Amino acid sequence: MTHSEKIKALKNSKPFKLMDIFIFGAAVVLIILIMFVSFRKPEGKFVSVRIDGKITDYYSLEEDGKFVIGGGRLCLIIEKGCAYVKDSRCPDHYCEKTGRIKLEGQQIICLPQEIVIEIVADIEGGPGDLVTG
Amino acid sequence: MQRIPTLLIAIIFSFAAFCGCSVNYPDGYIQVTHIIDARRGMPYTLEYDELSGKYINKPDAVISATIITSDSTRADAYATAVCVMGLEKGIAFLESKNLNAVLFTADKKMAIVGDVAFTDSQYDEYKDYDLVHGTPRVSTDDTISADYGNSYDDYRGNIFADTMEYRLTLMGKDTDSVKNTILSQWHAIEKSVGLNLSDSELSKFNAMDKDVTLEISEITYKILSEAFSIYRETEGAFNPAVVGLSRMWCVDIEGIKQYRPYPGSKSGSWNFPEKLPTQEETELEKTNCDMDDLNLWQSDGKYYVSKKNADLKLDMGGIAKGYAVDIARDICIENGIVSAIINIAGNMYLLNSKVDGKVLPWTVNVVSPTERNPFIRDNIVQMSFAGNVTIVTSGDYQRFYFYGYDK
Repeated sequence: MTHSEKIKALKNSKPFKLMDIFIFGAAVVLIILIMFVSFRKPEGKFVSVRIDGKITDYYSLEEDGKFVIGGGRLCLIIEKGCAYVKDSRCPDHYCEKTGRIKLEGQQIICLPQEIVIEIVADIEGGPGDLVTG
Repeated sequence: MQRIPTLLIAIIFSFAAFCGCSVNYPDGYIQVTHIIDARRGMPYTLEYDELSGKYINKPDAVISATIITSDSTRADAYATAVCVMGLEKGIAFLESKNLNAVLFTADKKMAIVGDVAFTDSQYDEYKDYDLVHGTPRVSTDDTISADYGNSYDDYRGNIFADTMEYRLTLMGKDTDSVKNTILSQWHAIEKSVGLNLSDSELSKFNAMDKDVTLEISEITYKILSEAFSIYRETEGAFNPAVVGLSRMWCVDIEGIKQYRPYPGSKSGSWNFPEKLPTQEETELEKTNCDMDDLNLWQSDGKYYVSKKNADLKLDMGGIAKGYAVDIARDICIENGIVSAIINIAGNMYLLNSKVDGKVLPWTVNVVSPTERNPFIRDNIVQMSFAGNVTIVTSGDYQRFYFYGYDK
C-alpha cells in the first residue's frame, strides 16, 4: 500500500465503530458512578445547633420532633431523618427557604440571628449541659 | 482574523478581573477588643509601640478566663479583671481569693488555678495548649441512684430590653410562679441600672452634673457599692467607668455592631474605624475613668450618690447580670426548687446536682478562644461540677473588630 492509498483508506473509514461508542459510553458511566460514590456524603446522625457560634444543642435525626431554638428565635423540625426550619423571627427567612437537609455537612444558616444548624456524624467530645465562653 | 474580537473580549475580561483582585488590602491587622484596661486607657490586648507609634497586639494576653466560684455577682467582674491583669498577676490574684479558674493565653498557654475537675471528653484543640500552671483533675463525681423524676421546666427568653438571653431550667413545685417572681425582680434591676432605659437610675446618674445629689434605690446602691469594692480589690483592673473609653475605641455595643467581623471571612471585616485613638487622646479620656470621683452614702435608710466629675459615666454590665443570677438563686432556694440552671448571657449558676432519673454531675463546656470566626466556636475542655457553683467566662473573642494598618 502506497502512502496515498493509506490516506484514502483512512478517509473512507468510519470515525467510530460500534465498539468504540460502547467503550466510550461505559467509561462515562463508570466516571459518573465513581463520582457519585466518592463525592456523595453519608447521611448524618445528629443535628448540631450553634447560636452565636457556640454549639448549644445536639438533636438526634432518628427521633422526630419540634424544637424551639434560642428562646423562640426559630423552630427546628426533625422529620423522617431530615431537618428544616420554620417560624423564624429573622427578616429575610432564607433559613426557611433552605429546605430540608439530611446529608453530613449540610447547613441551614440564619445570618441575621446568627444560628447555624448543621448535620454531623458524631457528637464531638460530649454535648455537655451548658457552654461557657 | 476572525479570532480578533474573541481575543479582545478575553483581554478586556482578564483586565477587569485583575482590577477586581487588586483592591488595596491593609498590610496587617490588630485585634481591638471590648475588655479595656482603664489604667492604660486602651484594650488590654494592645500595647503602644513607641518606636513605630502604632498599637500592637500583646502575644501573652489572657484571651479567656473562666472563673468558678459561688458568688455570681463578683464572678464576671473578676474574670474581666484577670484578663486585664495578665497571666502571672491574674494567677496570684485568683490564688489570694481562693478562686478556681481556667485561663488561656494568646500564645497557647493554659493555666489551671485551684481545683477544677474535667470529664474525659477530649477536644482536639486542647492539645495545642501548654499547661504552665496547675494540674487537671479528672472528675470522680459519681452518679447516685435515687428515685427522682426528670422533669425540668425550661424557660427561655430575653431580658434587659431584649439584649440578653436568659435560661431558667427549674425542677420543683410550681416553677411557673417562681419564674414570674424572678422575672419581676429582674425588671426591678433593669429599672435601677439598665442603661438602655433613659429613666433608669444609672442613666440619670450618667447624665447629671457634678456635685448633684441623687437618691437611689437599695438595688442600685448594692450594685454600685459592690462594683466599687471590686474596683478597689483588683486595684483598678476591673473598672465600670470605661464608658467614654469604650466609645472612643468603638468597642461599645454600637461600635462592635458596625465593625465586627462577618462570618466566613478569615481575617474579619474589612470595615474598621479610620484611625485608632492616639496615646494623648487616651491619656485625656482616662481622667474620666476614676472611680474615686464617685460618692456613695446612706442616711436614715435612704441611699444617695453624687460625683466629682461630670464626665464620670458608669456601666454596670459586668456586675448586674451576676447580681440578677444571685437574686434568682435566692428565690429558687426559698421556693423549694430542687435543681436548676440559671443563666443570663453566660453568667450561669448551677443549683444542686443535675437530676435525670438519678443524681448526676453537671457538665459544662468551655468554648475555644482561638477561633476568630464568630460562627464557629468549638469547645476546648469539658468541666464537671457537683453543683452550687457559678461559672463565668470572660474573653477577647466575643466583642472585637480587626483594625487594618499599612506598614
